[in-house]
Amino acid sequence: MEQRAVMDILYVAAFFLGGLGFAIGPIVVAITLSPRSTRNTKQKTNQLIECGIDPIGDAWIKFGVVYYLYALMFVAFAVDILFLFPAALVYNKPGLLGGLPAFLEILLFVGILSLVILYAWKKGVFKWERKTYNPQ
Amino acid sequence: MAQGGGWLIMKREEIRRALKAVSPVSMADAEHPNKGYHLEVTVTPERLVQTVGILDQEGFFIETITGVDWLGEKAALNKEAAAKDAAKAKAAADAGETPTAAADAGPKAQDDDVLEVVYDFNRYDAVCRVVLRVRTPRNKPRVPSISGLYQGALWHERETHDFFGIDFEGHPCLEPLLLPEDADFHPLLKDFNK
Amino acid sequence: MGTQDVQPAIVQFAQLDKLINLCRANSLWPLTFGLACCAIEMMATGASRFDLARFGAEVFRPSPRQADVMIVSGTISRKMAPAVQTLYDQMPEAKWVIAMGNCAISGGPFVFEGQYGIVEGAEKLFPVDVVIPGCPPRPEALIEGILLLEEKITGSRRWPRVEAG
Repeated sequence: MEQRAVMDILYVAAFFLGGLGFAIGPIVVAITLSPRSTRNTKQKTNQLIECGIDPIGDAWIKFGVVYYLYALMFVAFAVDILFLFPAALVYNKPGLLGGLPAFLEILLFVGILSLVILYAWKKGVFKWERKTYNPQ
Repeated sequence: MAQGGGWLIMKREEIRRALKAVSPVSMADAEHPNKGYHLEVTVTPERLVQTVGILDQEGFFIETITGVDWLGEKAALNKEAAAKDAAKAKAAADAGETPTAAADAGPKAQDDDVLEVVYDFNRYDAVCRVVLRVRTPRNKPRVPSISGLYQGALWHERETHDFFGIDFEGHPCLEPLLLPEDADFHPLLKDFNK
Repeated sequence: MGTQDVQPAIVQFAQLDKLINLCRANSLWPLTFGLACCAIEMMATGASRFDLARFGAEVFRPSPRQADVMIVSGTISRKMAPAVQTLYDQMPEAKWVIAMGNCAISGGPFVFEGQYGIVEGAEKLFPVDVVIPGCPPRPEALIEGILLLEEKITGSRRWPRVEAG
């Protein structure tokens, strides 16, 4: 038991460190291997990019709320999938009749969550009608 | 074009009649194959906006605006008139007549030369090009802007201002269009040599 | 004009540099910087018949921050010069400049005494690495220019040299 718990924790730790390395590694490589300055003619290196001219207006503009709603839907269902992982772990009774109650429970769980999609559909989240901002 | 020559002549007469209201300085028909336009109208700057309003109501669109620098025109005309007088005096002297007093004073006034703004108007339903010319003195060229009637004229007037220095009064934004923003020269003037 | 020394990387190995330069040379990402007629030839080079993708360079980046090489193709007018310089500044090292066409090399056919409109050559604005003469140069010439740039970066040429005749 002791050995198995330690092994399991080691697995988790290894994956955690791997993920950390995956995220931070390229940043470290880029910082150490890239040149630290760039040749300038007008000292405009740090200016915001707007096709070579001075930027007009702020970058923090109003944008359509449809982007936010789409992202919200994605996050909601990503969390849904996250919940399904531990459910899949306990859902391993062999045979059709053995696993039927568990299958029905999972079906119920996913079904209730998909009502959210229906609600969003009826509310028009999936119709990408972006109202642009016209400063008249 | 669907409309033949008859329609064009009728249209031209219509426009001539409409433009009589602004009493243009001159109005002349032209052959399109020769000149590229059908009617040439010259007005004074004070009547420009009214004229353009009439053309707008007739259904024309603005094609282009450009300028002409008439530097040396007055001098050339004076020289021509002087040469003609001299030839006449010579002929009179040859024929043994008494030399008459210097008649035909001609354009002796030493006015400054002019800049001319040329507007081309055309139609969508058929090609019927009307050229509008406006003259303004060269030492202080000022012409009212027609950008209130034709927004398409905004850039054309900026370009003409860039290259000739003509000030379009009432233009919302007379910045250089093609020359650098800090340019203070006008390249298409005949006495520009940088 | 863009002749400052570049502060080198924190970590530098000779072999690693060779590898990095090899990678840079074979995947040069140009900045879409077409100014005039030479840009049409540059577009033709990126299209299917002449295919710049064979050399890793068909990914024209619209943003200077993601571009390696700026192919100055076309006449640089005095009004456009500040924009070109700003874009050159905004490209991160390592960066190269290819002057494509006579106008980018020395003003081309628009140079006369007392001209007021153009900058006579990209060389007047920032250092140029490869020069491709022509008005406009053929797409094969632009490809040869890219190969010359690769040779300049890595020190050796991977593709055969085409002899005339």
